[in-house]
Amino acid sequence: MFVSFNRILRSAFSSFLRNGWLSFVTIFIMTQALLIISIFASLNVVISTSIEAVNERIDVAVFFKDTAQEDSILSLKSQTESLEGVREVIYTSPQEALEIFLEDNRNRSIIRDVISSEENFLPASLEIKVTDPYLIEEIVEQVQEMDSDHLISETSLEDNQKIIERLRNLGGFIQNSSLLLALVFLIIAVLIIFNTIRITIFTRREEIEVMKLVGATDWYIRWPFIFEGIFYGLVATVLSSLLLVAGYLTLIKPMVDSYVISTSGNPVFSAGFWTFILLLQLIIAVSVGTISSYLATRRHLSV
Amino acid sequence: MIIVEGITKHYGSRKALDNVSFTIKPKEFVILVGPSGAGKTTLIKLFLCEEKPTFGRITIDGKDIHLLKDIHIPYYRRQIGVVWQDFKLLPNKTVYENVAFALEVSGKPDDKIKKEVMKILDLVSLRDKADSFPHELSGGELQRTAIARALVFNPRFLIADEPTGNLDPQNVNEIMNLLLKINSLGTIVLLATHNRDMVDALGKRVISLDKGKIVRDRKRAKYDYR
Repeated sequence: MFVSFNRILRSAFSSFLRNGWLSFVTIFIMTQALLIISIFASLNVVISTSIEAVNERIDVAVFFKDTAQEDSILSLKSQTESLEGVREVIYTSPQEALEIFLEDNRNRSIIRDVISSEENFLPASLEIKVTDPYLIEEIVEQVQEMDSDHLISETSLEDNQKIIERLRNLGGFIQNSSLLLALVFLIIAVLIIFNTIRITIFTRREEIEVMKLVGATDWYIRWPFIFEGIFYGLVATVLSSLLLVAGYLTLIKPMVDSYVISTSGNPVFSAGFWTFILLLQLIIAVSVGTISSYLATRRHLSV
Repeated sequence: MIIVEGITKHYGSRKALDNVSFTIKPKEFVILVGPSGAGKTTLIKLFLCEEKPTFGRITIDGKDIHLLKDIHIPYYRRQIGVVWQDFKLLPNKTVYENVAFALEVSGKPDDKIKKEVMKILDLVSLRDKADSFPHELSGGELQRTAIARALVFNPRFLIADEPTGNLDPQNVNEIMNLLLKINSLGTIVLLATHNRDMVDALGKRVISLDKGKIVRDRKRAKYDYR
């Protein structure tokens, strides 16, 4: 058993080297296919992270009447925090609101002149951040129901509803279409790899026939081809990963560092992301390499 | 003992072989002659289990070879040596590896394989070409490599299908002498050929095929299938 395995590996490796040109072309095409897969997978990750970042910024503010007491507002705040889908609730008192307003307009002397800090016209507010922008309406409704004393004067939802809706729809559309595109290209790439290996084996069908005629068993013939398919997959994965990292460092990284998505806590191009891309390529390359070698040899083994 | 009994082979409506019967005794040298399309190649394919007969059977030492299961066919093929007109060597393997391949398949240890392959390469005078690839060899050397591969299992039965078809006269002689030598060592040789000079020089039993039928079967015969 060990002797056979050893021989099969040796035979696979030597034919991999001796068919140099064919191996080179096969690996070249496989590398390209893997690059396509990786680029679309990365694009997908970037897009969904960006959309998440945008969604995180979709929030709603609830404004209170002047008569509302801070205690009642704070109790409403803690009630709101316990609602499902609420990520964070920030209370802003009228005083704080004024400070923020003045700070924002510190360079506009006209505004500063008109406003005196004694006559605060700004209301107290709760800024509610949600986990999912689709929950906003429901949450606002629940908050209004909890407000039995009618302390709420208005919410930002009335003004922003259309923008929120548009952002949500756009985000969903982009996410779905990029996923679809990635899937289409995944299928194309898999078919390219599959066909390349089939052609490689087709050019060597006479070898298979001869091996059969001199008394080799099917599996003795097939294993070296399968190992060759695995070699192709491994080498192509390494090459495409190197190209991908090189491309990332020279083209993408300078952009990412200044880009919006980097503000969303988690960096997109994390170690986890690279592991995902590497594993994705490895699994696709090796499994398609193995399966297509198996199927392609089967056709020529019927001698 | 090889017994061919009433072998008929149809390809669609065409009859490639029609009720062919003959017997080959141990250590016999049999030449198969006939024009193209007479059925020589079909008969050889039947011997190799590449094809199954439509009717009839071929038994070798009492066993019907077409009743073998698919998984047993490789083991059967290792017991017969075959030499083809187009050599059928593996292009990416050296002379040594081509000959050794058949033995490696059977799972023999490397040192034994080396000993046997070198012995056979000596027999066909190719020891110094052991590391050459097929594209570096002459026609005669290619055919001797193929013969070495056919002999490496020590078969009791060697089939040669037009082995000299692609060779010049000097190489033809070489191959002919080699076949005689193999036969003298006790191997049955079945030689299919068009080569009149070779048949006449050999002076062995000649079976003449025409349109799928045996038209003549004579001992110590000359080339003649009409």
